[in-house]
Amino acid sequence: MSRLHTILGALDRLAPAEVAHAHCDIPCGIYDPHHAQMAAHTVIRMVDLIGQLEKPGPNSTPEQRQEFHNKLARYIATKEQHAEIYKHEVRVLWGDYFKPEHLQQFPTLHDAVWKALKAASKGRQEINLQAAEDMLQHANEIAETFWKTKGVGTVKGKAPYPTARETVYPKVA
Amino acid sequence: MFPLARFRIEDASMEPALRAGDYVLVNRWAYGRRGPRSGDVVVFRDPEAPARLLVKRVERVDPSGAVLVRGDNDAFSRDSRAFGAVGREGLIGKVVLRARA
Repeated sequence: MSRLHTILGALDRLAPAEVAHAHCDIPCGIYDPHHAQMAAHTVIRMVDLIGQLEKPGPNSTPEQRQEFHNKLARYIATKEQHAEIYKHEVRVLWGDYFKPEHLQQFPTLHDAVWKALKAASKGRQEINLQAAEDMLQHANEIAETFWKTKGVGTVKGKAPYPTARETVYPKVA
Repeated sequence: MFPLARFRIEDASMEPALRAGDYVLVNRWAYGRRGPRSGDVVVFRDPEAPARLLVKRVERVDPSGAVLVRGDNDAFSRDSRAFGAVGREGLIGKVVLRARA
C-alpha cells in the first residue's frame, strides 16, 4: 500500500470520497428474458386468483372475512412484487444487454420496452387482466428480439403453468 | 469549486491501470480550455444512470466534442460500446493521480 494511499485512506475516514465505478455488471453476458415472461405469468395468475376469490357475504363470520382479506392481501402483494420484478428485468435487458447496433437491426425495440413498462405499471396499479396479458405479449416480443440477437431460434408454445398463455421460448439444442 | 476531487475505485473494468480500492485524484477543471484527448482517463456520469459515476479511458473524441470511452479491461467493461458517446457535460474531470491500494 502506497503512502499516498494511506493518506487518502485517512482522509476518506474524515470525508468519504465519492465512488467511481469501473463498471462491469459482473457476471457479464448473463441475460435472459425468461424472468420478465415468468413475472408476467405471475401477474396474470394473481388477477385470475383475485377474480376467483369468493367475496364474503353479509352473513359471513369475522373469520370468513379475515380469511378473505388475508388471501386478497397476499394476491395483491404478489402481483405488486412481480410487476416490479418484470419492470426491473425489462430495464436490465434494455439498459445493459441491448446495444445500439441491436436497435438499428430492430428499430421497434424502444417502443416495445416502453409499452412493456407502461403495461406493467397498469398491471401493478389495477386488477386488470388485459394489462397483465399485455405485459406477457410485450415480454414475448422482447424475448423474440433478444433471442434473434443471439442467433437463437424461438418457438411459441402454451406455457406449462395454470396461466397456459402463449409464450416465446428459445430453441436451445 | 476546488479543482481536485478524490474518488475511490470500485469494480474491475480499468484493470490493470486502476484496481478496486485505489484512490484517484481528478482535476475537475481539466477540460475548461482544452478538450479531452484520447488516452485520458476520465470520470463521468453514467449516461444510463446519471447518479452513478464511471471511470474509463477516452478512446476517441468525435468532432462535436463528445467522447467515446472504453475500459482497459475490455472483456469486463460496460462502456461506449453499450451506451454510446458521452457528452462534454457528462464529464466530471480527468484523472491526474492514482494511489494504489
